[in-house]
Amino acid sequence: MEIHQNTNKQLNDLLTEARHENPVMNVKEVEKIIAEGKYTPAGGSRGFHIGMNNMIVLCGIVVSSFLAYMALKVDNGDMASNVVPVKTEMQSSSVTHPVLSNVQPANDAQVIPAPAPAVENNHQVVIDANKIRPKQDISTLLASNKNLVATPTKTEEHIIEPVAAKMPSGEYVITFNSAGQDIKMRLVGDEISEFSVDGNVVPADQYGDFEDILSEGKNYLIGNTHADEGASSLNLIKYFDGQLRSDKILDKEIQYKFELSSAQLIVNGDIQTAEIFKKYKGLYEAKTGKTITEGSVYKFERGAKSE
Amino acid sequence: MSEAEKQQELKLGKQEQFMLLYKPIHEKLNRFVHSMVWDREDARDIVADTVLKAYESFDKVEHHEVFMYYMFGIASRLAKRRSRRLKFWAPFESHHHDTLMDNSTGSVARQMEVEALYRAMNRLPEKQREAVSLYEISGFSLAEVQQIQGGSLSGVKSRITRGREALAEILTKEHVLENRMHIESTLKKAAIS
Repeated sequence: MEIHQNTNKQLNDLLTEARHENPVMNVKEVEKIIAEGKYTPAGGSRGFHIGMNNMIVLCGIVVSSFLAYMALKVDNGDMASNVVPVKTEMQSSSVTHPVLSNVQPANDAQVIPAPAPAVENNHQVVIDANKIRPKQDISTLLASNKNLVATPTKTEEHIIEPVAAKMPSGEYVITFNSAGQDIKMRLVGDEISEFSVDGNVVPADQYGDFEDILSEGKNYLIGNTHADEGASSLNLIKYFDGQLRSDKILDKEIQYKFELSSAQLIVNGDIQTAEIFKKYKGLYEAKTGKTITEGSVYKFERGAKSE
Repeated sequence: MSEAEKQQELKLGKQEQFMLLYKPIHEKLNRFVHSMVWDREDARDIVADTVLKAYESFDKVEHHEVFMYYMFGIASRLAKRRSRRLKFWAPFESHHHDTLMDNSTGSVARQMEVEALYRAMNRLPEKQREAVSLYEISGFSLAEVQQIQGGSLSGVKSRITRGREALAEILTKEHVLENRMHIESTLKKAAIS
């Protein structure tokens, strides 16, 4: 009770002291404020306050700056260095090229090194995949005529060769199978006068979409590479032309058809003897480094007239 | 207000009229604001703002008898607004101690005790703090506090009583009252010897 009374007394004393505090501002200052119409606090007397509002604004600025920086980095592609390019069907098709998928090398030792396949160079793969290509049936892209899945073999890596300026003169029609599609090309020299895929004629302005197929067709016409044998050996058709005439199979014909399959040789519709067939098959394999497997045909038509 | 005073008012300009009414309440207003916001510099700001706002709208005050309540109403609103804003601000106190040290009006110990009282008042609910400040520090009567605060007289009494109890509890916990008792008893002993 005594403690309570003492506490009350002390509190009263304290409140009385507060009551006798000097005013925070004197009357003259108030008069000055009214006269000037404004109040200017004494400079430097307020100290420094760091509050929640300031902190929130500061954090907001920091976070938004960071996000903007990251967005800029992503836009510039700096963040893409760790991204592994996704393999697409297009990449697969560029690796497992369908042309002459049935043709196997006769002798691996004879295979001439070709440019590194795209699969060994990721950069190249991405660029190839970005190219605009004609629509194709995916199922046919990966399968041969026998519906066997085409896998990247050494042979396939060496199929595509840049077309040299060694195209045979004259007019030719070549047909071949690429990725399950029947390709037909009519050439006058190295100029393509007609091009069809599965019987559908492709307009000349769309040849660019079939660049790979056209390139393969021309290579096929030339007869692949044996660079060490000289430039003349590249001209397979001229070679066979000369052989056919020296073997008296052809005399002075300018226009004829040549069709060499795994089972027979047909020239101008005449099935040649097994001996001739064997010889030409051997010549073909020797010149191209490939075997004619069952189902695949090498044929050309020389001096063909436009239909 | 007598007829003579009214006649005098009419002769005076706006500023003189304002100051004539303001001077009697100057000290009360200052103490009230100081006890409400605790910080001396903030109290100066609020007093200045109150004066400016009141002076701007002085023409609208038709009955000068209510000028006191008008002024305390403005000061109370500004002080409360500042207190709410301070919930999100951390006061920097070093300049506060500088003010105490520079204060030549009384001993530093007494100043610190008054500051401790204001800090304790700052922890009271708004209405309680206002009632205690108006009644105990500014020296208004219960009826005047009721006029300023509104509500019933018993409500004002209740707020003052509860406010005092809370203050005593806070100051006891912080040993402010205990120290005062100790100093007082020491001084008494010294005087006897």
